[in-house]
Amino acid sequence: MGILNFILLAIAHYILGWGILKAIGIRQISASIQYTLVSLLFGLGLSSLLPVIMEMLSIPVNKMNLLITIVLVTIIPAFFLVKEPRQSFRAVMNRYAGKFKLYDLVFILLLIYLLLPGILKCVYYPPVPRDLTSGAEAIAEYTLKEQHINNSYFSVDLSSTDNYQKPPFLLGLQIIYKMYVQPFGQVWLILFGCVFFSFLYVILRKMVHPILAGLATVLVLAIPEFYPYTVVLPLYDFPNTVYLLFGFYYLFLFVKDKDKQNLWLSSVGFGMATLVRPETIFLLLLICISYYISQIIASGKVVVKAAFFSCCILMLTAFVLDFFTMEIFVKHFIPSKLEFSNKFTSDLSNLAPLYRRWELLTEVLMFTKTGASRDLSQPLYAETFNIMVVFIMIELAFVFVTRKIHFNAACWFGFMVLVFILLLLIGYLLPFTEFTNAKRGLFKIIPLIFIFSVNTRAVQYISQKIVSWESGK
Amino acid sequence: MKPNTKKSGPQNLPKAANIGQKISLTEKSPSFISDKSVLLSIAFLVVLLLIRQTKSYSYFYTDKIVENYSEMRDVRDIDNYMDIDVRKMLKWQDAYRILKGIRKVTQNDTNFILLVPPRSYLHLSNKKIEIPEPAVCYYYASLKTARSTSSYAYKCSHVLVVNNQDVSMIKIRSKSHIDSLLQVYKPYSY
Repeated sequence: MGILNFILLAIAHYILGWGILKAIGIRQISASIQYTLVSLLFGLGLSSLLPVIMEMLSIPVNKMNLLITIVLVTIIPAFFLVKEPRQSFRAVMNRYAGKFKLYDLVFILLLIYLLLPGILKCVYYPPVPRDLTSGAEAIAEYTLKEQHINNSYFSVDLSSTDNYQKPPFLLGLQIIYKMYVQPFGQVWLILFGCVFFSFLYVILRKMVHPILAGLATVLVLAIPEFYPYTVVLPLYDFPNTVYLLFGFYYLFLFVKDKDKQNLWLSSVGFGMATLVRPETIFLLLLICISYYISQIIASGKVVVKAAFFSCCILMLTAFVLDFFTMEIFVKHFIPSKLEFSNKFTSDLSNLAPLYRRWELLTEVLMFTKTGASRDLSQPLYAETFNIMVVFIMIELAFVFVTRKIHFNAACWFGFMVLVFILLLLIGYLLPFTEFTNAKRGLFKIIPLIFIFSVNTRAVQYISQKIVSWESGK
Repeated sequence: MKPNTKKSGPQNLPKAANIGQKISLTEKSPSFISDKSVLLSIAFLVVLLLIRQTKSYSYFYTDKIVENYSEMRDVRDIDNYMDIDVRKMLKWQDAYRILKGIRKVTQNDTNFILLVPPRSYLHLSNKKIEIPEPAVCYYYASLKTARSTSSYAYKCSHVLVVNNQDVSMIKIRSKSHIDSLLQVYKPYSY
């Protein structure tokens, strides 16, 4: 029953996400692996709001009401999906048949082998992270018993935690999956993990030869600190990373071809990332400022109207979702006493936190020799940041020799720099943030490192050689 | 940096700069299995095996893959291994067992709230028990608890005390009793 409900929920997420893509005018979204994955996770993110909306409307959050709500929100996109002109199964298979090779199958089998133990643990064990058991999961547990999010959990001594004031993203998903799939809820993370690695492979495959794409994807998966959060431990950072990847990828496409569709997709991606972690707004501001300045430099004008509107579109979804969840729901429907603004630094002239954060990120986490892993001998992120440095150096050598900047590599390098600046700024503006915040914050940069690496001219050159050799040209 | 039209450096570099824009990586080619796709698949696996030999990736493979597979095989040897309570016990361990035990003996007392002393105070006993924060206690076992540092402490009906290296639960007699307990806990921390 649990597995069937899991599949049905995944279909409902897909339909809802498909509806979003259709609503923002995305063409050719049917029978495309990439858009199927994006639809699934956009739908998953929006579904997390359903129990929240029910609570705001004072509708008891029980099995029947939630089922009716899910059906209601999926029925309209489902109607349009059914009406959509359909390609025959044979046509779809023909479209992919020529592109799918033995090494793709090898990669898929390897991915299953590597993800399976994590998936089994996720299904078998109850949630462990304190952020979850003292917040979203505990509230979800009593929501199931008492049919309201504002339940007896809030009658307990909450002086030791502020986890109940975090965005309701995990809370919503925990309620839905605990209600219909299994008692610990957390299996929605499996969807995130599988979609993330599949999406990464699909987009890398468009940039380089599939075996290089597979290699890069496996290197992302094989990061000791990252792996558990992708399929075992349901927390905020990994879903945030996934949505940021969507946002960055479509922003990259927009910057490249100026197609408004990609801008909207990017806006939804960043919006979902903000739904999971509100501080993503700072990153969006950094992105918009950088984009605006780059457009001014490119066009030579002081004000670029089109760039300003693009920035507005980029920020729109994030502001709407953040306002709805944090300003309306958390402030007015959750019995909270904590003021988030109290956490901001009051002394902006004090640069010590910024320096401490720099040291923490670079010396302790990214380039440590001893590491901070459980046995205190292994780097947390394996060789990821060393790989990044090597490819930056090689690309710089290419720039130096050819006197040309390669657009794709420069763009992804820019994204990496922006995320790094965000991580520094968070430590500076919110000095209370601790070690784990920086440790998991670095997740955001991991997929960007590997996308940047495959876009460097050295890897592109190798990729072209493999493609030429394989096609016999 | 402005692009420079002058050619410089090794001959192959300008060519490399344009890579990725002219070739189609997704163009159709006839067969799923060809000699070259087999060779590339083998090369892919060999490279991964070489990477796996390095210290940090070998740590990942052993710690996250091999050990997790073996852990999931081992749980099948446990009686009733699919039982929800068994699964909770395996992960939450002593804290869950203790809280469930307290909940069981106090389930008829509707006003029961347990005052949990600081961790370092509880560690004065031989048992070194760990009690999680109140929100987690409520989640694990529907047991209401409070910390001595919170105003909730005055709502508590019972308290854990360390006596002769042992931990026991006693009823709180009065507000002044709580005050005296809070004085005792002052040097200790959670």
